[in-house]
Amino acid sequence: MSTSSRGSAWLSRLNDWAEQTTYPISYLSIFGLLVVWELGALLVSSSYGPPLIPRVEVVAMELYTMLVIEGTVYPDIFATLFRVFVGFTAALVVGIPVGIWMGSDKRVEFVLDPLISTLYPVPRIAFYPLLLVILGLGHAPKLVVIFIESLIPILLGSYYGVQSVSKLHIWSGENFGASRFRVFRDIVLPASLPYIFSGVRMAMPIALIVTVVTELVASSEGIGYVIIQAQGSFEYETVFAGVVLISALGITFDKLLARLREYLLFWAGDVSIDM
Amino acid sequence: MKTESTNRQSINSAVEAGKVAYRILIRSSPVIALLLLWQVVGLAGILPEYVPAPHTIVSYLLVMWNEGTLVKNSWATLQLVYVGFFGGSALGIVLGVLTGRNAIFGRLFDPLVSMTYPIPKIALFPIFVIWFGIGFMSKAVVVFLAAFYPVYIHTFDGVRNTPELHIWSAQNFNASRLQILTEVVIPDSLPQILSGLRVGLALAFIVVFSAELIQSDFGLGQLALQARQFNNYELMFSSISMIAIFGVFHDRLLLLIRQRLLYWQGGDHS
Repeated sequence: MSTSSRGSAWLSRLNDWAEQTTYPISYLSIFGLLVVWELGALLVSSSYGPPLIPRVEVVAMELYTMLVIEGTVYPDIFATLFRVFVGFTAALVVGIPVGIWMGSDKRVEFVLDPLISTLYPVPRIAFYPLLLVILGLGHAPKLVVIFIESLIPILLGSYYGVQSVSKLHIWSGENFGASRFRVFRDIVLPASLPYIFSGVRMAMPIALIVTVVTELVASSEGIGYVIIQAQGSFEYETVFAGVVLISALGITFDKLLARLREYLLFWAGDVSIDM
Repeated sequence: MKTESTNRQSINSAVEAGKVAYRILIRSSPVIALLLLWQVVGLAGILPEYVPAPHTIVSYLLVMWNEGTLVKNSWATLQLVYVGFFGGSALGIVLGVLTGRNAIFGRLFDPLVSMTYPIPKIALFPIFVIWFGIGFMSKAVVVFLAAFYPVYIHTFDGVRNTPELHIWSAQNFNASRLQILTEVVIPDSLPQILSGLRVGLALAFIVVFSAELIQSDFGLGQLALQARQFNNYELMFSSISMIAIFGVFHDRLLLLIRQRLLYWQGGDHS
């Protein structure tokens, strides 16, 4: 009894310390990940072929070569960025208006809601082989898959957003003689913006996942292509470097969206869409 | 007297069931209409050669069933979904509760998770293939990771947002730490956890199919890829429709479970 209570007292003191400390203990885990990686590289050895886990500094050197010394990777980075950007923008342009339309017109909702909620759990990436047949090997099939995968979270975010707008606010707007357009612009749109943004934020990692998948399956450029090429020719440090690159892209996009949210929606609390 | 009341009860429940069925039918009418349209257009013979009509797909599925390829490949895919999803979400819930409840864990691990969260996990798949080969293991690990993150993030949010008031009142009634966890924190964050599970399940299906497209020996994704090489569109659509049916079925199952668990919440999202 006494030891357990002493233990829990110690634990709660530790917790208080962790809550308040200004030491950057947040970086410990990330540093720990690198240490585990390096240790793994030192301990795991393969009996033949290249090392299964290339060492951290080898991968860093490979990245440096790719980015600075030879600079050969930029066309691939641009290809990946181009695909994410075009597919995602198309999803934004279609998804937000259609979602808002769905939320504000009962007839549209009746037709689209069952279709969307049936399509939501279907992995749309399954259509990629078919699109490869129809559209060939270029950008087109990839863009279409990125578009259809990121469309639905954005669309649902906008739809739930419009549904969440308080009727009271709309009524008071109407009471002051606001036109339908003004009600939409000044009440419905701002009130649903946090939800739309949550949908967008949910769609972004999916867009990146799908881009990488399409590049891993069939492509002639892009970071995914670099990774799968290197894997086939046993250049494992390039595989790891490619993965680090794509991770950096994902983290950057996420940070950018978070920044954008702070800038645009500083007034709104965090909403999560109840999927 | 007694039989009359039971009769009336059974009639009532039958009427109730009929109403529910009718509502479901009305609600899903756009989907049914679309499938019918597809079938009619297919029978009229104006579909392009790469889109077979539904009846052709069904008869091809029967052929695959007889050959045994349908069960073998579907089971390979489902097995990956189950192992990856259950493993990943179990770890996600446990870690999410730990980091959400415990400041020291939160400060130590949450940065790592939120840092690695936006990394497309499927990009790690080629590495896992290097480590574990093109078997079950490499795919299971990717699906595990893909399912882990959304479940973790939602659980963490849910646990963090448990009202302090509820915890204080429980403490006031001398609830133990374990009781607070199982009777206050977890029920309070259940809606969030279940949303996380739903996102994780959808992602698990995406990632399984993708991994099978990239490098695999069998599975539904592999079938679709083979179909593309041989221009066998019936096979391609069979595999697409199987993964679609599995996806929808498991999602609906999760929604049903959520309705049961959250009957007190009274939300009607679907």
